[in-house]
Amino acid sequence: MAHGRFTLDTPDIDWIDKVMKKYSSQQQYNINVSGGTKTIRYFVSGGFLNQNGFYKNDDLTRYSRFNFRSNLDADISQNLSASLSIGARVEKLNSPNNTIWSSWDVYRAAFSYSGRAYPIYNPDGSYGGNGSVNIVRALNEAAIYKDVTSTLESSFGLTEKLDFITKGLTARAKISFDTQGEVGRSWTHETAEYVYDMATDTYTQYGENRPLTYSGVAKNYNWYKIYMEGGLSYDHSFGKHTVTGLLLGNRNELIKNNEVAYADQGLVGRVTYDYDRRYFGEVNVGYNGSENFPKESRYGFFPAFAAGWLISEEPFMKPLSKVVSKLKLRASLGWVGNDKYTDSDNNPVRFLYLQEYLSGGGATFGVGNNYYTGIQQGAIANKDVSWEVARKENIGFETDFFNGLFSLNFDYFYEYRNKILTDISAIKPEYVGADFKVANIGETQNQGFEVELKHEKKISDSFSYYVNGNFTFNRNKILKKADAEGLLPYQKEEGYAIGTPRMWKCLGYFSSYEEIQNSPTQIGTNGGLSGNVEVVPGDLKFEDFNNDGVIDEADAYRQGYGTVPEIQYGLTIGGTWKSFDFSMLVQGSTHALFMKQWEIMWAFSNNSNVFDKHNYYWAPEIADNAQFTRFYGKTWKNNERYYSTYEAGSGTYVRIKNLEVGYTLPQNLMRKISVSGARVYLSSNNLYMWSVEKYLDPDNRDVRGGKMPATRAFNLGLNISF
Amino acid sequence: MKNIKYIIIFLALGLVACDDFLDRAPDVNLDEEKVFTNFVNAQAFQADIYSGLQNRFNALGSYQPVPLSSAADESESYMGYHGTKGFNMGTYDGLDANISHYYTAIRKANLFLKNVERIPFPDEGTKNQMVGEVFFLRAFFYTEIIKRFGGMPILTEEDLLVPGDDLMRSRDTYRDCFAFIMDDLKKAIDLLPVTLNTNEYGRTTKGAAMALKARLLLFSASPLFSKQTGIWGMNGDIDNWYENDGKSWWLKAAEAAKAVIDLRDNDGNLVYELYQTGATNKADDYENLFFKRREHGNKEIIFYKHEAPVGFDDDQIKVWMPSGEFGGDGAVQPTQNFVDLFEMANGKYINEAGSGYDESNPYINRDPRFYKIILYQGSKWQGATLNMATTSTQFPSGTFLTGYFVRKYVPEEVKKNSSTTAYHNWIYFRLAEMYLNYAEAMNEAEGPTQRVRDAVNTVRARSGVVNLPEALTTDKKSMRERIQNERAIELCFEEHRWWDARRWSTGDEGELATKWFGRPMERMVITSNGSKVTYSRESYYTRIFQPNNNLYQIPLAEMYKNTLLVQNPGY
Repeated sequence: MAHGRFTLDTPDIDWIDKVMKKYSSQQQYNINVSGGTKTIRYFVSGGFLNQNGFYKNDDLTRYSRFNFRSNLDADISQNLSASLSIGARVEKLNSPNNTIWSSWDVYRAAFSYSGRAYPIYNPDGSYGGNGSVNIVRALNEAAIYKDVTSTLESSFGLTEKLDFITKGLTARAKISFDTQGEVGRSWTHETAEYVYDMATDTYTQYGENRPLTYSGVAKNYNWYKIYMEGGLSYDHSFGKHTVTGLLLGNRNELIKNNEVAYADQGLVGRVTYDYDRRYFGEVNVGYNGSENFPKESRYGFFPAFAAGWLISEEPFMKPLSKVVSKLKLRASLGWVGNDKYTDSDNNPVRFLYLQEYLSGGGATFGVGNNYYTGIQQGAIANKDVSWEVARKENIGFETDFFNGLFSLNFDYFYEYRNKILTDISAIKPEYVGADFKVANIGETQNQGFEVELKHEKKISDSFSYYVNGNFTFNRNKILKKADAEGLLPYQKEEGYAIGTPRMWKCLGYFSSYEEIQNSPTQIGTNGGLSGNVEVVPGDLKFEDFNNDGVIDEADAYRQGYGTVPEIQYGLTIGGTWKSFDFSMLVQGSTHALFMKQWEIMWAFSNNSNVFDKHNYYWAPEIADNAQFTRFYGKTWKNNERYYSTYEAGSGTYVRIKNLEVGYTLPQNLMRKISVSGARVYLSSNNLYMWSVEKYLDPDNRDVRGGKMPATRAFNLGLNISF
Repeated sequence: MKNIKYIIIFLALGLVACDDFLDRAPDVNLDEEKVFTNFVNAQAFQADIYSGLQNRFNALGSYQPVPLSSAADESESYMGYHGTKGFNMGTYDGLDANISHYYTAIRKANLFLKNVERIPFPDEGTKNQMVGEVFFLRAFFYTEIIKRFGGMPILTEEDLLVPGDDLMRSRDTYRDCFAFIMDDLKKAIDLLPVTLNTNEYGRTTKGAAMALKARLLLFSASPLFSKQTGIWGMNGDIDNWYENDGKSWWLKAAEAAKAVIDLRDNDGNLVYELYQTGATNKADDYENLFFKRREHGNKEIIFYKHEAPVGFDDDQIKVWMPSGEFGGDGAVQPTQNFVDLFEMANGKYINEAGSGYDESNPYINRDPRFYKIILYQGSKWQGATLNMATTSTQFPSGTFLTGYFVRKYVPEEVKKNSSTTAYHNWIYFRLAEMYLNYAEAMNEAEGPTQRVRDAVNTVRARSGVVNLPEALTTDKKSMRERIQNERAIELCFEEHRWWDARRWSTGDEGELATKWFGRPMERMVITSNGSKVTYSRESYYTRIFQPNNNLYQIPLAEMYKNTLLVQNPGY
């Protein structure tokens, strides 16, 4: 389809081209100074970042950040030392006021609206459109939104050596104070669109023209956090034994906007022991309490154990030490807890054990029609709410051959999580007559392994290289969730990976009416997919999973992968040659699935656009080479909108995430200008991606495809140290 | 050494001042204690139970929500997204089920009744009234459920389920539900006052409870429920398990209806009377009774959803208002099938010998109520003359028209672009229904006696309609048909026909609901050239209705959750 063939009455606008830039620029500067004396050491750093965005409106699309940090460590006396760290940053963001909360008005509109209804400009120069369809107008005439976020992070710590009690004992205390405030101010500017009628040479206005006005504060968030810890640590070796210990109490309080404070406190203990650097053992204990639970179930006890054996240090391995430079076995077992729960909109859900009654509902009575506001019982509380618990076990080995020439690390893990806070409305019958809050009934498991293979070689003084590869596999499974009893096993979520969709399996397109007659009934009314009135050649054919001759709910089964990729792999390659250095990171994942619907799948969805593949809609002439079902216009009569494997997209991709080439300027030249080292580099982020699904980035999308895609960046930089 | 002491004290203090740090729970404004030990709060809680009452103008669908009359053959809401589409195509999963809605309201009533002894009522009278209201409301909500599904689980104030309880219940028999509702109504009738103060209008009264009792008895006596057993019916005629008086269900139903008609207040005056103002055109009274409340002199309404006046933009008005120039959604369009039910002015059906019906001039000399219920070609409405001919410019070309709009219940003075409001309260019970309930039940009990005729004729006479033709109603069957048709006209668009047709099914008349709701729908195509208007019928859509649709399907999602539930037959 040729874009740009554009006349007044047959517009053909490529919105992405009109409102999105192909390239944008950013700059970043950073300076670090460190030094000190024997008793005081300092590190100060400052930086500036400026980034232009991708909308074709430079004034409205800009991000800049100033940051500063200063760390100070001082030895106050022989035993007492202190450290002070202060960091601050200010971020300023300008964006068009119609993209404050999401990119739907500009970016998403740009790839989903068809550019075939109205021209961008009418003959008299006014914006064409019938209300809010002109994205160039939406962007050019948008008002500004200015957002400033200021963050402060500070901490102060004291350490006192208590060798006089016992050697290796230290007492420590720390307090930190962090705060952040964000204020976003927005202006509005309404502009009208006009429809030009060529026959009568008249303009009809849609919308209003209003001057630029300040509309107020759109975002106003702030939080501060106070964290305190105090305790003892111990570190001592005697003979072949080394023992370390830690006992720490901590307390954390977070105040966010005007919400009730988040608080937790706990005790942490740890003891490690190693003998002759060959045998290692570690015991960890955490005892944590959270404000989110009732007094009885407030605290959780979470221990962890680990052990290791550095076999390569054993006397019997000494003869092999040239070959096997390192061989270590390790295993661990531990428990952790979680007390933070969010609902599907990512809002925190708190105090689940409190039963509330709220103002709501009511009735009108009396000749005066007075409304009497009522009181309603809130969702039924979960009196037993408590910590979610995860138990993780792993075992693995690390090896190193020929002093770093090859190394192989392997790790196997198994994780079991239970008491997961789960929504139980799916097992609560309607006649209960009230909503229940979430309950600690969910259970999942996750297991897998990770392999890492490294190879490093120094060929000469001027040339060395390394190649590292890693491969991770994990498979998770829901063991228990609130699945309705009456569901068939293949319909429940239990027993499948998290996020596995339940859908019909698409067998292809119907090629003829005979085939439709001879296939299980797919038509609506009693016995088929409800609402689906007619099935004609070119529609999707679904599998009759339970072989009952009818395609209905019972044929939709859980299949495919979950949303978390099972396999992830990466490769880093790097090296130095003379003064050049080179590194590259390639990563990818596979065995993941996501569903595509609406604007990225269906033609004319929401009066929107079509994709290339929609041009190859099913017709008898192209039959199995069709890339899309038969065309149907705007009504909902066909069946390609049902959740089926036809809409399942593969999450497989490989990406060159980083590529960097650097050149270190000659030392003797640099010394002449009192520079101790300088390096210039050229790098790229996200250089290239190959994925099975052509239209989307599997790592960054929603079911309607509307998120801003990841950007590819090319950087040219210079590091100088003095 | 001194330092150790400090350290130990520091650690000890840390551990002691501990737990209060985590006591962060916000002060809950209202908890169960505060709600039920304070009369004002308890009163607010009780007021909210009323929100379980639905006004049914917009019962189905979320886009241009329409009444159930469009699922019945009274009207058409033929547009792709309308809520009736499922019904019309025979898919019943979850449509109008309202299980969650009514059980939520029932739980509120249960919670109130459980805590009633705690509430500090100012006096015995207030306590009786408030408790009586709650018994009535609970009975009303359960009736709404069983008329849809048959017997369903009964939950009382002892069954306030919380997480951790066994939530599985099986369906109770229809009889047990009936007995439970009747028990609630008995208590309500005892406790409720006969009349209300004007500042309490909208609350329930003794008469309302008696009317619900009469209706429930009528439903339960009807073929669909009386012959079935177990979950689906009363298990045959009286076994004397209820009010051991030897009377048939029909007779009990007739007497309950009569009790409402004869109800008198403390001064000996009849509480309810058919709305009659002595207007010259008596049908005007039929039109106005739907807009007037008791304070405006209308004593016919027994129970209704009391609301403030509404304006044009309210769905209640807009969805029913004609579309096109008139600005409404025009989503409730009477069908030709329904218009054909109206008698001629002489009391004969249009297809009976000697009726005088003229297909080329179909709207002259019809039942006086016709002109108050239906807007037809040539009707005067909001200052214009309604023109639905194919050449009309009143409606955008391509608009689907059956040739009629609804006039009943639509306030003419509320126009688009105006801020005029009108009273528009959904009526649950009115006296005319009680007369017709009495006539129907008494006819079934003893045949077409004089008192049966008198009851029907009283309703007809109010609107200026001639008496029932004696010659055509000499036996039970013919009288039954005439009473059924009388209900179809008098109580149209008040959500009666949809339920009546079902309860009459499986009886001597066969499957009436299937016959009426599962047939081709017809509309009138109007063509005009100049001053000549021609009418021609056209069948435009065949609806699907099977006998098992007499009871609703329990939503599949509910069936999955609870394997104890038994689905209704045929689903």
